[in-house]
Amino acid sequence: MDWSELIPTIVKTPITVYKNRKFIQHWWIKLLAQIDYGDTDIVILGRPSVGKTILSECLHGQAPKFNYKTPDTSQSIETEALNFGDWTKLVRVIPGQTDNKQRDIGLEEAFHKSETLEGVIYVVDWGYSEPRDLTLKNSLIFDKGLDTIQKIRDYNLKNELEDIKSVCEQIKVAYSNGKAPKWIIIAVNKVDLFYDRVNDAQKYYSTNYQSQFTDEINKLINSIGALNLKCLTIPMCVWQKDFEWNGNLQKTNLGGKDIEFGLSLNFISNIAKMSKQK
Amino acid sequence: MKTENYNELIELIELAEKVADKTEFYKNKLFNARLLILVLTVVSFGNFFFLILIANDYNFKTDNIKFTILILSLIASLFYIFSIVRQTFRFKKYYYHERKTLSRLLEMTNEFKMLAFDSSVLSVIEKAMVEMRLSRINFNE
Repeated sequence: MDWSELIPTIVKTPITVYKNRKFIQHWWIKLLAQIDYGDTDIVILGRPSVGKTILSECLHGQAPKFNYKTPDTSQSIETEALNFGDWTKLVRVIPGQTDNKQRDIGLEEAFHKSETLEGVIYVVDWGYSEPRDLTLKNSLIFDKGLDTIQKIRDYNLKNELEDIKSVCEQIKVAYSNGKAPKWIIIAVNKVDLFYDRVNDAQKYYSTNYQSQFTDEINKLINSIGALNLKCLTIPMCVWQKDFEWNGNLQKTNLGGKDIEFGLSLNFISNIAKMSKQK
Repeated sequence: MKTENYNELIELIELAEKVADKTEFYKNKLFNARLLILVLTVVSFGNFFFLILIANDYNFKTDNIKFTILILSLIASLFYIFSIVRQTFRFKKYYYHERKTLSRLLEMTNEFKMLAFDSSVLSVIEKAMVEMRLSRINFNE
């Protein structure tokens, strides 16, 4: 065989690989996610019951489906391959319970070992989370006196502050080791419960305003530098559901599926934009 | 001043420690039982194929005892496998029961820790002791 016959094949192969690079990368990341191997690109954090798992499953396309069952408390790290824009990212969802060993392992991997960590999605819900365990729920209502929605929200927001403080500390340490994320997105979930007060939630979570929460984020940005860490606050609603607490009901009032899809689209496009900026 | 929240947290931690130990115990039992089933199955298959191989050339009048011993050992190992399989199902049931309890305790200790730290005047050492005890518990068996 003449060498001239070989040349087109040799040239064609890399061109074909280049043309299909996104497809190859997608399946490669999917494989890594299946075997739970590889460095984290994006890490999803937040307090228990804020909707981290359901958010990742929504982005993955597993939810909402007719036969979808809302998840129980996550006890271990969940690894998914998610599409943001053109590229697929390896996303890890870290359990919210601070006593969970898996959480420490996940944070250690993301902030201190991963060479490819791009960003952090910190999920919050403006205090509208409740324990999944009925005994615990009753204990908080009857024994601890958290008997109104406002009281449980205040309690949750206080714990959320403690949590974001510890996450900010982790990011600071990671930055000093040269492995910090480039962006942080505050995903304000469950906006269907406070759609009429969404501006108040924005004032609490957006870094353009001042609140106890944003103080923590701004402290982090000031110590790392605004050019090194971009921060964005995005409203989200991944699962419309009424919030019931001790007989008091906060009804979902998002106003239709199109708004829910619009919020999701906005969320995904913002992550894609953030990823491109790196 | 230690409050009721702190006492409840300590009780929950004690329970979680016990349940975590039990979970570990059943996990090991389950592993050992499964390993034993695997080994016995391999031995029984070996025994069975050995019987088939030698059956043709066997003089049943003279070697009757040897053949009977082989058959009996095969039956005995099959019975043993059956009893271990039953045991495995029992261990599995206990193991999942303990795991379920442990996952409930994970949620509860997490919430009660925050309440206790918030409402009790605890020293740094006391808080650290609670943290250390909790960090020793493997909630993800």
